[in-house]
Amino acid sequence: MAGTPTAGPPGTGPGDAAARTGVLRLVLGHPTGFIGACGVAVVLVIALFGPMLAQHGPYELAGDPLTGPSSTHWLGTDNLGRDLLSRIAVGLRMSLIVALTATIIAAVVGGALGMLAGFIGGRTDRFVMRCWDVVLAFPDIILAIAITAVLGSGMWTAVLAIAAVGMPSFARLARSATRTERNLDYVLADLVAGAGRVNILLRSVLPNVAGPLVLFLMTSIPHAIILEAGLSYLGLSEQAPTPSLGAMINTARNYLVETVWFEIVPIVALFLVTVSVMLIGLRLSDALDPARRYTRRAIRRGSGGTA
Amino acid sequence: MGAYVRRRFAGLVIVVFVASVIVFSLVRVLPGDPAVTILGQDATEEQLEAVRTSLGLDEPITTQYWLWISRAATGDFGYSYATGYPVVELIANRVPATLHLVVAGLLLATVLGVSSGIIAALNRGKLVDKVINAMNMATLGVPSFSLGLVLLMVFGLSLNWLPMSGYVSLWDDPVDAITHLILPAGTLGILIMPQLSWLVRDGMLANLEQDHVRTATSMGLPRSVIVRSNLLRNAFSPVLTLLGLTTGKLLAGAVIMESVFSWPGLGSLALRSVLSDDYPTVQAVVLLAVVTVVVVNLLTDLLHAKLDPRVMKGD
Amino acid sequence: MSAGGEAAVLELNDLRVSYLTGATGEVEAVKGVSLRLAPGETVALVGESGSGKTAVSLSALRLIPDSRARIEGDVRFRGTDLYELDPNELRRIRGARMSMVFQDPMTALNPLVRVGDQIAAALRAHTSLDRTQIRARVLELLDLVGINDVAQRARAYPDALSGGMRQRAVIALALSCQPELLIADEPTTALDVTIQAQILDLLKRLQRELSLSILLITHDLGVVAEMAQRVYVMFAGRVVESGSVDAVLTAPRHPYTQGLIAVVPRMDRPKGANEATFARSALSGVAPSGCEFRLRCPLATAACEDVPRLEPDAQGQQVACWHAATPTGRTRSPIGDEDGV
Repeated sequence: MAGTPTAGPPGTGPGDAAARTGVLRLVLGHPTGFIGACGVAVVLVIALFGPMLAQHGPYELAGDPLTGPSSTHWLGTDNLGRDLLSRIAVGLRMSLIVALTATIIAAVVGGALGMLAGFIGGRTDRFVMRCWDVVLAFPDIILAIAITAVLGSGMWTAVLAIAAVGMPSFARLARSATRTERNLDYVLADLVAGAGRVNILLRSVLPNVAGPLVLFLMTSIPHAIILEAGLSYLGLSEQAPTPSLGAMINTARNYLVETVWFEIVPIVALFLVTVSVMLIGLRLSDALDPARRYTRRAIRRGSGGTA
Repeated sequence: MGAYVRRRFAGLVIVVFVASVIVFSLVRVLPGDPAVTILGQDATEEQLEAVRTSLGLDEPITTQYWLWISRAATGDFGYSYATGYPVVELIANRVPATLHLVVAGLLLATVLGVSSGIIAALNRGKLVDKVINAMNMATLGVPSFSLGLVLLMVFGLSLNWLPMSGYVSLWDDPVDAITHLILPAGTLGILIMPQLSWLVRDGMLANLEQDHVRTATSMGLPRSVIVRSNLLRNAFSPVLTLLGLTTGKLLAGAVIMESVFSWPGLGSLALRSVLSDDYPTVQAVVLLAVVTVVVVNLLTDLLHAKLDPRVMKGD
Repeated sequence: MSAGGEAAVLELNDLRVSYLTGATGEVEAVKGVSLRLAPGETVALVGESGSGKTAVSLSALRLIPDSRARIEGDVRFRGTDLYELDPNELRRIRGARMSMVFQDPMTALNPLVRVGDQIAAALRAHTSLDRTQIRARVLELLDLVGINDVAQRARAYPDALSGGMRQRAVIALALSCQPELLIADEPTTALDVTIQAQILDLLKRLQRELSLSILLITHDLGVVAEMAQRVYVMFAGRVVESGSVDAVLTAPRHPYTQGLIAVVPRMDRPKGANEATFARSALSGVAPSGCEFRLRCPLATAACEDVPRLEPDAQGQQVACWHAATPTGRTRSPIGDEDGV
């Protein structure tokens, strides 16, 4: 999730291009995107069908603790003797749900506020933008700690924190796209003709702002997943006994001397998600705007996600 | 310069004010009674009342904020609910460790990022450029704590070259301090590096297209002079801005590194405090982090303005 | 500076520049231009934008990267082919013996380096002066180009100077190492009219004082009349007419040159029909084959489907046109010269 005070508008082009070419073909037709898509497919298979493949439930104390892979536990067991495959499956599921929910909230709320600010302009605009400056002044993990102080740790805290961190970028993007749109002749004509502001916003502005927002949403997901993993590693997200990759990695840290297996399995699972999702995101932004690929990448990650 | 500085400073004051209100209200909107948190469930009503009065909880909310912020400005953040020590003491004890980590991480990131960026730019399109780009991309896709743990398993656990955790001050034992710093600061540095590397590379290449580079070439200046004074120098200002923007990321990364490498800094203090409902300490650390971020941002922007005479004109 | 006159300062022979576009595409910007510049002479290269005049000026200093364009023909500076030099030899000529003033003074200087330091860098590269001497020379140069308050201006960043001042600084930079040849690519186009005149006067004065040779690239015939002794008129990558400024401006023989002169606004003449025709036809562009001007040419015939060669007349004025006006002003008959029209 990137907070980018300096980032300019990616423009409205990418969204249009995406609509024309078909996102799926764009992703699969290039090695980067294809590898990413395969990775995501593997992740989805594990997340959806893992519990069926595993012979034990995620909460079941099913065998000896800290064993390696075996015929009964394909990925071994954790410190309490629970089956790692089924715990990883549920953990992946949680990661994806939290990251997706948070990113969508960030896009909807941030996008709406950004559109309003850009459309109304003037004092409202300055006020809303100043608010994002305040949000951006909180380092992401610190913001999560602050929110945890109020709500206690848990899944919704993580969702809220990740959404809050992502919102400013969506708002800035939506704002600049809206401002561009707002000054176009036909929108001005609508305004002069007395069309309702809400009507114009929904009918003329939203369709043109939606494209870039959706694209940015897709490229934001890996950052959300990474931040979610960091929060669950720190114990600020889902609480035991609910499995989460970060928490598993944290627990396994204490058993490194006994076995590294318990540590490596969730780390690899996490790498698999973040790297594949990021490859897809990279492919999309490169394909839709090749001329600015390096620069944009550098700027967008300007104050990007931690964890 | 004066007007620019004044405007930026006003912006800083507003942001810090709003952030402090947010940080203050964090504790005010909390369910439950701080007095109960401090004294426990068995306290009598008189005891609770006494604590409430001493905390100023019976005052109007604005007065409470004013009391809190004016004390905070003098470094008085009250007493830790968990330990009973003054918060400022807890913080003061932790600052050196975090500073070690953050400064070393930033230094490593700058050295690695800038040098890899220069190498990539000078070899544009060649294999080196592609390898550096791929490494940067890979780094971005990897969560820092798992990267830290992998490095820890390799260099600490298997090879046994470096200590796996703990902090030693540079002033006490420089060599030992550095061996302890390598893994956490290295991970932090690798985390920040890719953006720097890209920015330096792209900045240099973008400048290559500029007319002033053509002028310098037409004047027969040596390539080394052009690289230094036309390309690098002009790529430097955005790097500076990025370093300012990176502060937040650096602090957040420090929280995680401190947890991975059992580093006794502010991040682990904040984490422990929030998990033990020690609100005054959480407030103090959060506010400190926010102030650090905005102040560093302001400083880098001012430095940027000083180095690049166009900033204030265009702004 | 040799007064021999025989060794040309700059000589282009059949220069061709093709810009590489995309993977395999090429755009031929210069299609065989030959040009000669004698010591102490000012020669103007005139043409509209897109005529290839900037490509000529850049390739004369070998400033177009090999990756951008294919360049054929030769460019000789004092008899040396610049395209056969290694980078170090080339570097010793650039700036020291020939230098260039660019069109836009706003972008020609590095915005982050003080004006004086940019000139000092050139002096360091080409002379063996020590620090104090360099500082003195920088001030002297700024004074030479008519900048007041030199000590303060030398310390200024380019953005602190006005456009005219900046162009003076660029000229000071270009002249810093006493070159024999100055290439000035539209040196006044980006400036206000009053400043334009000042800069032109400055160039004229410097040329006299330093016995410079100047290759002046411009689209402005007024500038040509004021500055140059000889002129080359370019259209679509070719020289279509050349000769002494007096001859070409008073008795242009190529219809394109005639059109250019006709559209120069003059107080003593009402807006002519000629002008309207020329302006209207300017929209129809460049022919893909044959004489590139024929789509816009009032005299075009079937003969113009072949490219005309540049033919000299007795006075040394050269023109590339099947229907060129005779030196006395009459049109050469289209029929008779060519078969079956």
